[in-house]
Amino acid sequence: MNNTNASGALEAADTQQFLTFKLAGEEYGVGILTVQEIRGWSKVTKVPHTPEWLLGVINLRGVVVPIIDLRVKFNFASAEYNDTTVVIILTVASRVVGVVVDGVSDVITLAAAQIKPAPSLGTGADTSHIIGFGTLDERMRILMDVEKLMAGADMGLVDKAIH
Amino acid sequence: MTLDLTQFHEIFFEESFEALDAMEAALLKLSAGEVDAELINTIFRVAHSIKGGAATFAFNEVAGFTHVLETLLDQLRAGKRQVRPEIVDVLLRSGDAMRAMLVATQRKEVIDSTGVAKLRAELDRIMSESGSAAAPAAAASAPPGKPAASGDSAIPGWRIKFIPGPELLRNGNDPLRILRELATLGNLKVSVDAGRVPALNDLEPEVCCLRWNLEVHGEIDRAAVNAVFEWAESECELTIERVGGETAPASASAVAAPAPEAPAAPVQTPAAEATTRSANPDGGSIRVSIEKIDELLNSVGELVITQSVLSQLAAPLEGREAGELRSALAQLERHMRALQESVMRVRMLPISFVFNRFPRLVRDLGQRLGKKIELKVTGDTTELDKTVLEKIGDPLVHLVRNSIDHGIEMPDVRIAAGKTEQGTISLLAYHKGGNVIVEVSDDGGGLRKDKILKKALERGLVTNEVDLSEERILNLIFAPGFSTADVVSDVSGRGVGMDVVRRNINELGGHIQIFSKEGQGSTIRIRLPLTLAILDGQLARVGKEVYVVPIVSIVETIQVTRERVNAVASGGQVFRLRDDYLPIVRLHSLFDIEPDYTDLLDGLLMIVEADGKRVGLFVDELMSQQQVVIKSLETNFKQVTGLAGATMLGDGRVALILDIPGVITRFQAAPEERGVARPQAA
Amino acid sequence: MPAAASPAPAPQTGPRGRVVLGTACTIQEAAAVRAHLLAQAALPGPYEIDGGSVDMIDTAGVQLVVAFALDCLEKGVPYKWAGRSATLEKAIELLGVGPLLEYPA
Repeated sequence: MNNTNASGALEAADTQQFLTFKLAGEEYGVGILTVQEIRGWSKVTKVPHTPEWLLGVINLRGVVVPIIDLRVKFNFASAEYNDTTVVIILTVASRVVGVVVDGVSDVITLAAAQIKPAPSLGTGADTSHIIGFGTLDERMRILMDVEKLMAGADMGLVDKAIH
Repeated sequence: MTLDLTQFHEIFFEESFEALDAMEAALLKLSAGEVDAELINTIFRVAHSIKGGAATFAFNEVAGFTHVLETLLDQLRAGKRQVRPEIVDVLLRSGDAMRAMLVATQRKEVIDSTGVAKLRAELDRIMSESGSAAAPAAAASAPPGKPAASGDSAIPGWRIKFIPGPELLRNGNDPLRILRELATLGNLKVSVDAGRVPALNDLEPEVCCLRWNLEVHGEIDRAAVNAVFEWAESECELTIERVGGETAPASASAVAAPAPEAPAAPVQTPAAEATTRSANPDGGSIRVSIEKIDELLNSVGELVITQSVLSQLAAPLEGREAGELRSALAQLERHMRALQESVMRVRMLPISFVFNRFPRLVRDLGQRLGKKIELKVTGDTTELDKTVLEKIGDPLVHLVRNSIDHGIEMPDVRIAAGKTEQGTISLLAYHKGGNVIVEVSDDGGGLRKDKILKKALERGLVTNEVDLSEERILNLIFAPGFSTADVVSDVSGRGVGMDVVRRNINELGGHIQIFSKEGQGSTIRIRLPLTLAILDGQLARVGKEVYVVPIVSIVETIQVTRERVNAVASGGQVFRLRDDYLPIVRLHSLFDIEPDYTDLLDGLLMIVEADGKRVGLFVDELMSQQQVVIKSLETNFKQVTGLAGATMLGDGRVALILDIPGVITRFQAAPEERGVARPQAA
Repeated sequence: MPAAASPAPAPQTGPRGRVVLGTACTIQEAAAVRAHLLAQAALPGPYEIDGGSVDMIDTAGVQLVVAFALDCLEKGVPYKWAGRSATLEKAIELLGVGPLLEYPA
């Protein structure tokens, strides 16, 4: 439904909101509805025999939540854990997962027209988790599909069906 | 006001399943030779009440079949037909069919109509045979000296005064339906009293102001009349009295007596016997959803953790007030434990829920194999956590089937061996320590060690003829790949085999042992934790990480001495513990942690055991022993071999709980990665 | 079992009260049926009761008709039946209210 009011602005139905964050100098965004909360860094319990980017698990008010470091997963250079490190807790398909990022930025609203689909990078890299690129204020943000990211086979997270 | 009946469906299903259990128990007693009018009545009432409920909810297939069943049962009840083993068989199968139909209805699946139709045909056939007149030994008591059926007043019947209460209609009852049903019992005469119906203006449509005086004549017993009013009983005034006829049939529980019963309800003077709803036979219990209990248990678990945090914080404080605080916290801890135990008990149910499927199994399978077997059950009131209960059923069934198939011998073999013709299988359950022990025993032929050894050699499960202890030989039957051919009949597609049984028990945190004497019998003893949610754990530190080792798996913890450690060719190490050599599992290597100590002499060795294997876990330090609440790793993550879950420590950190069988598996699977040779499991 | 029940039809007004019992006259429709009966009773008699389309009825429904009939008796206003469905007949018979629903000639 594409109602336009007098000033021509688009109705909310056509726009999406994203939480944006920084990761190794780039800006990313995830759908606001997937974000459960944002926490500072806290000690993580290592789980043996898991990939390097799975830092371990934490206690989130009585629930065991795995913490993933996207910087490690995407092979970015450095990964520090200090006072400015932030963990975004995401809910995806009734699982709760935390991702470590360098810092959280604003919540932005993008209209469909402002999102360009991800081109196939031709490098053989798997870009299925990228919804597209959102441009606002001349800054481009890489918009991620959290569900696809978590479900990606290499993540090894969705191992069994949850009852 | 809209009446949505679907909210009552689930209750109907639950109650019907329970009723079907009662029906089966009664039928089994009948087939065991106990002929008792009360049993037949019980069975009749089950069918009747399921029919009524099914009709109300328009579950027509169930209602239709149950109606046929009810007709046969009525004949048995009235003594028009004698109870024969063949009839008991059909009734047992009918109960099964009803259960299957209800399950299908509950799941909104299609009912297997052909099976039902066949059974129905059998029931019809039986009913078309001329029933033998009731002999005094027959089940139902028939009133001797039945009056000739001529004229209503000569036929006995019941006079009923039915005064609906104000809530009757609102509760989903309908006098029209009730009278319709009453009319099926016999000749019904209705007299309505509309004196209390107010003017239309003042009438509340949902309140029934009509009342009735009814008379129904026929060969009907009071229980049948009661059943018609069963649902409405609490919402109306009801008076039922005997009327007409020569003798009042004895109350249902008496076996037929040759002389008429002394008139408890004398014919000419109708004694007004108001029916009163018997108090809830449970003595006041309510159904609670398992989610509510889990939530409660969770909250209590969190309380335990918080209390533990408080205790930790108070520990280093100084001063008199600190002492008072600590003692108050100690008291809090005691109360918490008591609360925790109470809540855990809420989830516990008696093992009879599982044990009571066995009489039928033993009877059916025994008959099919031509063996005579008696089942003895002891301690069926022993309680277990509901989840453990649910998962212990299948393994137990497998074990009992084994006893029936391979344990108990054929009658002639038994006699030749000087035993009684009838074999005995015993089920035993009791509490010991923090565990539940369940034993399955038989007085059959026992396990033949030589056969087991031979089979194991054939299958390559043991490589040499080293002198294995009796215990080890018997435990070979649990090895994967050993399973003897089992008679697979009703076990639908489940993995059978003793290895699966043991795995199921292990997954529950339990242990299984087998004892046997050739020629005399075998006993399988299963040890289960009381609950799955809580674990007694020993905290152990490796480097900066703290792990929880289930106490039930720990044999002992020792400090290593140089003489006991032997190097094995190409790098591994074993530890000599009395007569055994145990591999040493360096947890820091296995889990890739930086430890405090790498020299064995500096740390500690925890000897742990699983599946008959023992290893020594090398850790830096032992910490406290405590009860931990098990949190699943799978909720948000996935299952990891070697980990049984996670828990929260007092300081809020997550500690991983080790799964000893998994740890051993991991250790044995990849020693090459660790640069350690592959030691033999002790 | 009553599923989505159809409400009683809108009152049919005419010079004389005409009661039409709809296809469903159970406790679900009771309030509506009562309203209809009252509306018709407000008109002058004699009344006509049409029960020919009754498909579903229960004690609550029957009770309403009984109340209407008793009111007529009290006020001395006659009524007659313009048809009764088989379902309605059976219900009247079972509940024993037949004699109550015949205005004395």
